[in-house]
Amino acid sequence: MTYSILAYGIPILLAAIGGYLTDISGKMNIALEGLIMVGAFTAYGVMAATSSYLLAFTAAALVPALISAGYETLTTVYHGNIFVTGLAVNLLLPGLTALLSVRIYASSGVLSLQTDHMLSSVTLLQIITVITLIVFVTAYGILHQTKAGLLLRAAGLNRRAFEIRGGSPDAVQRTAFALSGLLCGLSGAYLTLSLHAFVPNISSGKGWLALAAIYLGDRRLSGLVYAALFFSVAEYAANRAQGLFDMPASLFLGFPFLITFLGLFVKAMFRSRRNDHKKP
Amino acid sequence: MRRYRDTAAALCAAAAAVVLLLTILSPDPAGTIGSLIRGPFANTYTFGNMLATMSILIICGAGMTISFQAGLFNLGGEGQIYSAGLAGAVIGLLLPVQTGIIGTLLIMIIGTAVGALIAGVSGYLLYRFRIHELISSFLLSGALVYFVDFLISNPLRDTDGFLQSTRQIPQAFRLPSILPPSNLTSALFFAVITAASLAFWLYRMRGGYELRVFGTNPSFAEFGAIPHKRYTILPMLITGACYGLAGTLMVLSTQYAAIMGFTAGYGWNGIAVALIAGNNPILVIPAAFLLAWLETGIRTAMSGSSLSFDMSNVIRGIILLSITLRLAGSRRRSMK
Amino acid sequence: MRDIHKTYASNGVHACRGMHIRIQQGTTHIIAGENGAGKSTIMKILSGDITPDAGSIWFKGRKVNFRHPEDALDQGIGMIHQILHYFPTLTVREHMMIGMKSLPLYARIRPEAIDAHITEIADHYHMYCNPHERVDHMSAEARQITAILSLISRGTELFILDEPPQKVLEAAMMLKQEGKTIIIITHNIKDALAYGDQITVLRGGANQGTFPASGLTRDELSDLIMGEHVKRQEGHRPSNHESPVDRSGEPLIRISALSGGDLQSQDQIHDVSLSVYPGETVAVVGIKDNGLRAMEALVTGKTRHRFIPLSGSVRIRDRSPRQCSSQVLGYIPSDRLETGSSVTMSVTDNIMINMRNDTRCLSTWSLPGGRPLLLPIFSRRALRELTERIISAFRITGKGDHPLESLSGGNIQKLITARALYQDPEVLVCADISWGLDVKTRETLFEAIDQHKRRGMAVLFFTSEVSTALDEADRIAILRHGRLTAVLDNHRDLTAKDIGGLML
Repeated sequence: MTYSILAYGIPILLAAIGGYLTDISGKMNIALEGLIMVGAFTAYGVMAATSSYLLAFTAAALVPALISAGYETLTTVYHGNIFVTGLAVNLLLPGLTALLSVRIYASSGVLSLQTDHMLSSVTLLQIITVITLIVFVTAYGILHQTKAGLLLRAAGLNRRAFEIRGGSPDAVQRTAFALSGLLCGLSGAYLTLSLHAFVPNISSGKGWLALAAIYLGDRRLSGLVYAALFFSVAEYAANRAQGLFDMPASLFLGFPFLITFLGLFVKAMFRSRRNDHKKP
Repeated sequence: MRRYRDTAAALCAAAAAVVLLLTILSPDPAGTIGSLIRGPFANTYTFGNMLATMSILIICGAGMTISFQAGLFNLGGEGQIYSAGLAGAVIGLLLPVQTGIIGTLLIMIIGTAVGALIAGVSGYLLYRFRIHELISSFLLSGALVYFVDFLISNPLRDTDGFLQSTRQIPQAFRLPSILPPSNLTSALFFAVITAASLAFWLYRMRGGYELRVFGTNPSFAEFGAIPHKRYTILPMLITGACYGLAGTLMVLSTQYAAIMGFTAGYGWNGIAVALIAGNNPILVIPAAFLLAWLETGIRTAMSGSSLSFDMSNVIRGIILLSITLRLAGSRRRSMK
Repeated sequence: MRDIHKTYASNGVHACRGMHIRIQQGTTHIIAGENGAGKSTIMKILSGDITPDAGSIWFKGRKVNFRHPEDALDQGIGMIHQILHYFPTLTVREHMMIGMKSLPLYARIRPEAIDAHITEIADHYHMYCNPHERVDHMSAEARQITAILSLISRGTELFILDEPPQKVLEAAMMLKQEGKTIIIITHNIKDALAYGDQITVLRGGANQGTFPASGLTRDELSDLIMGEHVKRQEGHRPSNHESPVDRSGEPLIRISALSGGDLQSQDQIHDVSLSVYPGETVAVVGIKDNGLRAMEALVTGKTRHRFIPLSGSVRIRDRSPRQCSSQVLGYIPSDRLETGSSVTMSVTDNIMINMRNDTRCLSTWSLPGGRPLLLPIFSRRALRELTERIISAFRITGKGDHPLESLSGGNIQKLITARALYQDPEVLVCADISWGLDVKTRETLFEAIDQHKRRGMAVLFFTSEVSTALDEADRIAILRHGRLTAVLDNHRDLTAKDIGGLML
């Protein structure tokens, strides 16, 4: 049970931390889904070529980080709308990985990894859990304990005030985008490596769920953990229920979206009721 | 003038990117590009299919322009089309065949209402609770897509067929074909009428005028005592209604049933078409033609390959990217 | 600073017209002038916030080129803006840390060390500062103190203070004794004379001269700021001064004990009562951000999300302003481009905002029975005629189907005025109507308003330019710190000096 919950939740949590960093920098990266796919594909490519987990993870982190920062820069320079470009990147990247897969490996289906020293899924989960733990603690520490985190928060709170105090909000946001790409890449790499294969649509909506987790987690770092945990418990319960009562899996696939939607709604309702009380 | 130049530049950039991509990916680039361009005009079948695709794109795009003109972002098109399509198919299966043309109209009205209702929820939540419509429409749509998937593949599935789909609706409700054997039906007329009437409303009628004022400058709208509530909810309703109509028309004219995953990215395409058209419902018609040509071209050029879906996504992405980057000083209000 | 020019691209206002200013190291230099004189603009240029169109800045004998506030801060030039931009939810300590350049990115926030540092500086300058406090919970004055502390800890040499409150002024004096240079932008003549060594007076985007503060009296300085306005144009507006306004009837606008405003800033009014009678112009003069905008918003019932009414009432012919149609209440907002128009829409689109419900603008069809059918469909011909009429009456250069942003600032303001007057409103509320416009445009606008006034329209207008008020108004109400300090009849001997004394 712990295994399935972690295996489902960790990739979401990693991507969600990345998305959260961009969100508090004042500009949200909605292309997490596409970046996870790129990470997954890169991990496959490097692993197949070098059989080195270290290299696979590193490359899978760097490539999406570059793409993410790159598209953010492009949007800023050409005054684009970050949501539209994010959407475009989300459509573009999974398609591109599929096309590349055909071009390089002459297959548009499952690409299995066949190397000698494959780690077991459990070992890999342990590794990624430790990485996530480190990422989480570091992110927490940076955000609340260092000047870098302070700058990140400040840029998102008031762009103009940040500029007047001599800062460059664009640079801060670019960094946040790079970091979110990096974390999505790690998340994607884990998906590929633990499956011992790259599968089309391997992220299966995890990037979108990560975005939803930010909102469900009330835009707090600790909230992301609860949200990710919630998604994975719900998924686990759904799987169990499916087995027990012979219910179709597809009934539960949309569950996280629904729950997040309802969560947003209920939260907003409470907030507005509180405000109504405040008014004379 | 400048806007058209920008659009042309963006489309050229997109075309260049597509050619480049095919040159890298295809074993026979010249042939692929040739069949991509000529494919849709090769015979009545492909030509008709292109126009059928175009009809749906016109409706989706025209609806999306209304949201964009009001400064709103409906990201739930996929769910709205899909749910409305299913609703249409179910009504079609329930209604007695004798209702004929009235039944067809009823199916369209109900499907439209379903789409409008789903999008309207996001509009209401934005007005009442300030929940960002982009997030809420996406989440709702995400949940609905899976739910409709479930309905199609389980309780409503036609157990006799190979496809994951509902039973087919009776012949009596189907829209008349125009260019048999292609999929083109009178849906094209509905599409053109929708785009034209939305354009008329937007540019010649009071409501459309008020909506444009609200979308370009909410403070100016307040100056003119234009009700904030109406133009937060109404544009979402209209966009949703168009997506709903598109969904039912797909069922009535090409699928005859709600087939698993039949929306195939039309929700995203609506956004692309609206952006290419510079949010003008009339210009949506040529924009939809362009995109339909591309999509059909890809389908013919890559027939037999499972890649056409990915290729279309890549091209959609490239087009969206090149179009938004021209929108200097975007008219969208700043994000809350 | 030499020969600085700046024209704002957004509204075409030429704020600085070849300004030269010399600022001596180690002195307190006052920049004085009316609103719109270019004070803030020139200082924003010096602090790197905006870049000039032409001209050069020399600092400590070297030519400098500031592209960003950071460049100026690095050179030791820091500005404290009047409306301070801050980070809600962050504490004083965090605000200070953002400005600390010496602190590396990875530096851990060590509260004790930073707090000690802050308290040390604060104590040294006799300022009170609690590092734990959240800045959005503090008063505007306390926020300014935080900002100046932040500049001090950054090692700033030249401080630019825009309308500083008393506490900040006192701290600045201590800084001066330590050899720092202070530039103060102020309206307050008393402060200018009390704290300044040198006083530079700006008017109309140009330098009127720099004077030693010790050689100036209050009145002299007031005259310099207001300009040679003593010679009033006699008989220019006969209606203003010759036929007295009949105030025996019912007032058209009745403002009683009105309070409210932007709760986040100083832009509030308290207990304001004022009546405007038919055929009368009442000018409310005051300093921007000191209640003028708030009163404009509350009287017209617009921008309610920012300016919140607290108590009192506004009645326009026994109705609340929000119930008044544009046929009763004409409004020319101070923010022409933000509130008064939609610049990306066409000229006709902008003209028809008030006329959109008028049946004359709609197409008519006859039903078989001869009954007219009215749908909310605009008649293109009617709209074209409407546009033609407005464009020709005010000699606006522009075409109906062009976007509004292709018009000059003056033409846009003519359009907004023409639009407000077109429906012959009984009441006209206008604000900063002539701000940044050339003399000819100004004449056209006031002439048009006057014509309507003679037919009994009541005009309430808000301005920060005393000269305009003297030229146009029958009565002048003076708003100071959000309260009406006086309502004066605009008779012949009233001078800018009198009003300046009450306002500044």
